[in-house]
Amino acid sequence: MTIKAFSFTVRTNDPRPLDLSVSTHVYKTGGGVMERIALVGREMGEEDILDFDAEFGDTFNVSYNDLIHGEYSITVMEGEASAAPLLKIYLYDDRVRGDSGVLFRVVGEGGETIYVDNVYFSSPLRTRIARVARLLGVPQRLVEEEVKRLGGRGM
Amino acid sequence: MLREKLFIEVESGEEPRVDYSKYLDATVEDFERLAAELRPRLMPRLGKDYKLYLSHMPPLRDGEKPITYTLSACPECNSLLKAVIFKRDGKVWIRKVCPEHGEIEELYFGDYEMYERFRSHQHDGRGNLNTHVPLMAPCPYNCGLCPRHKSHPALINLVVTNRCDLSCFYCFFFASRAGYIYEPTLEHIRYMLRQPRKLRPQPAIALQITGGEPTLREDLVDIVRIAKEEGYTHVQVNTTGIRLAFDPELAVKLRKAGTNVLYMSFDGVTPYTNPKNHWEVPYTLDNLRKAGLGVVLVPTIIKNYNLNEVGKIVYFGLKHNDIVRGVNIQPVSITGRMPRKEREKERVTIPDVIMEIERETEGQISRYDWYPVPSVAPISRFIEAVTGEPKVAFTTHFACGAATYVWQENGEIIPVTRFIDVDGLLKFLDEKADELERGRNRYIVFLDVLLKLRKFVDASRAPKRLREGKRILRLLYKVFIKHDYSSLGDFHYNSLFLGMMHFQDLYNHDVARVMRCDIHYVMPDGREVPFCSFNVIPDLYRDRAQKAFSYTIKEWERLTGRKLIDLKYKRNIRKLLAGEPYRRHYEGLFDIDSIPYEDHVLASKRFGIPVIE
Repeated sequence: MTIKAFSFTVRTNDPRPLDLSVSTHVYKTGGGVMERIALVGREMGEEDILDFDAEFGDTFNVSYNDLIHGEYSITVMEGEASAAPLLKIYLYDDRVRGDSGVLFRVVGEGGETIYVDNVYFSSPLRTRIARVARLLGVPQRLVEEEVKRLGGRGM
Repeated sequence: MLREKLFIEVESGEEPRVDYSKYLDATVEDFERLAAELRPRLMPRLGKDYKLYLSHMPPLRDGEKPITYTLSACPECNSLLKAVIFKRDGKVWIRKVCPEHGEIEELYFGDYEMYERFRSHQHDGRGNLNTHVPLMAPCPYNCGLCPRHKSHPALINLVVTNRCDLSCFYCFFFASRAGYIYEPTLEHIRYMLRQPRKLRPQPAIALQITGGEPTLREDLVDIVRIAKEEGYTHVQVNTTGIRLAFDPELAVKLRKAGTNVLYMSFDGVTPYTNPKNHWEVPYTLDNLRKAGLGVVLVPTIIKNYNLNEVGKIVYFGLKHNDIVRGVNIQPVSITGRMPRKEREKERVTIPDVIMEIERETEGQISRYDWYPVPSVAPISRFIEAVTGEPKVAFTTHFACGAATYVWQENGEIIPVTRFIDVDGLLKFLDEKADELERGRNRYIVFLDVLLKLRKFVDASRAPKRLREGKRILRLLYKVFIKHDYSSLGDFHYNSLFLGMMHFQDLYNHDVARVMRCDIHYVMPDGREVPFCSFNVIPDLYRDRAQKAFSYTIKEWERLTGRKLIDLKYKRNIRKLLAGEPYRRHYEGLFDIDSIPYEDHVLASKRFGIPVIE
């Protein structure tokens, strides 16, 4: 199946200040292991708007309409993987709120979201890591190491 | 039986419709199942209901300074377009170009300076953890709420009927023009009311029962009771007040059932500007006094029609603020299609109305006394940080609404800003909420609030009741230190809330505002749709959903044994003018004796309300 992910930076002042960067890393899981999926970047097109909104509406409350309110750069990344549960790790830096960290999304084999964090309502990172590891059937240590390797704060 | 079968028909346009007469005895669970079946089939469809033209950038011309870009719908075909919001001649405008229907430009906000001041108060919501529809389409064609939505509901609207006893010339919503009757059963209403209560972290707690004319439902009091049972702590009824002018018992019953306040249309103080209910309002107010049921006046303001009377509406509210709790002004939302020259005769925006009030009150209520709706979000944020519990926060777009509080003493109007440093207090509370959220010791924060709160208040300039014994300071301590909100009644006593809410139309439509909307409608299929999608794109939301759950007029008449036409209101102006309440309420606001009886009759008839002797 085709995997799509986004990394972006947005800076706006209207209707409210927003200065946010998010990079996404995608992992295939199964058999107790996690494998990072190699993704190839391209420019964003009209056909990506809905996917962008679906990815960042419920996580960061950010949508395409927020992007066009100011200056933004965005990379669409695509790759292929056999059907398997996926883990998406979002590394973010919110320079208005002075907050940076990590959010997770667990995607089922059918593409449905099984679990997702929200930037405003997330539990401590270790609690969330334990939860996604349990959902994916991988050792918690693997997720922790990957978050550390990516430079995620809060460990 | 119903659990086995759903009575759904599909019309030629592929829009499903329920045989509603078969659902009269259906349970909440039946409606749950029916709604789940119909909801996906009622959603707007790409290609059929709207198109995307997002690559077309609107131009900017000499002398125009861009402010931002956004998405907006075409007034002709609903296509989603890119739009630019820009400054020109001290005002803020929006422009978009539809490849099929050309360029559309509209006034967005009538004063750039106020736009900037209001923008500095913007606070966004944190969205909802659960929503009613999955993300399947771009905003605003995915309403329901979808996971993109930024605000939780501050007020839920529930349409209980599309019947109305008036036939206002501009309205296409009421039953006889729509061609069907939408009137959900009590069980269906209970199902609908439960949906916004499911939202997390902040379920809906405030409800407006609306129509059509809700007082036409004989079971309106039961609906209020059900709303209370379902956990709505604030219930208001949106009405013309006409039936309440003649039925004092209804006012008492509504109050006893738990209605907190009425929302009553009131477009001016003269028969010329308010032909809808000018003659009945004095009697309605008297009946509400007897019932102890407060009212908020709701004027719709149109530039060439009643803008020059908005100050008098405020004075009317002040004159009767023993029962009038507020005036919530709505600059007109232009429904239907209208050429630009015609629109210019009608269009007013929030700054235009605020500045007209400043002019008419000779500066007593100035433009700087008004604050945009989201400016109060720091208060909710502070209390939430202190209590650890989610609180309702008003996080609309700053261009959606504004408000202030005023008191009247010895003929002088005292806005809240005369004795509270509102800017300073809001900024202070925001900082304290920040500190609490970052884990600073609560007691240290409380101590700081206790010590510094007084510097934002000049009790000597407050209205007498709040000035005496520095009651205003004690009241603020109770709210922010003790979290005792019962004392807020003291603050509101004798005050008049002045609000403004500018609902959008397809000319000034801005998706950024839709996404932040906190006034929602609950639909018969369980969706929760922002006001400015429900009413601005009615063919895709309001009308499609209500028609799907409606009776034919013939069927309704057969079931009820009544004729729709017989419910139309006929006005006895002579009798209403002769009563003592009429003169008592309008005395001093216009020269009552200068208007001949014939003019009264003409005003009513022109509006579409027949007159009887």
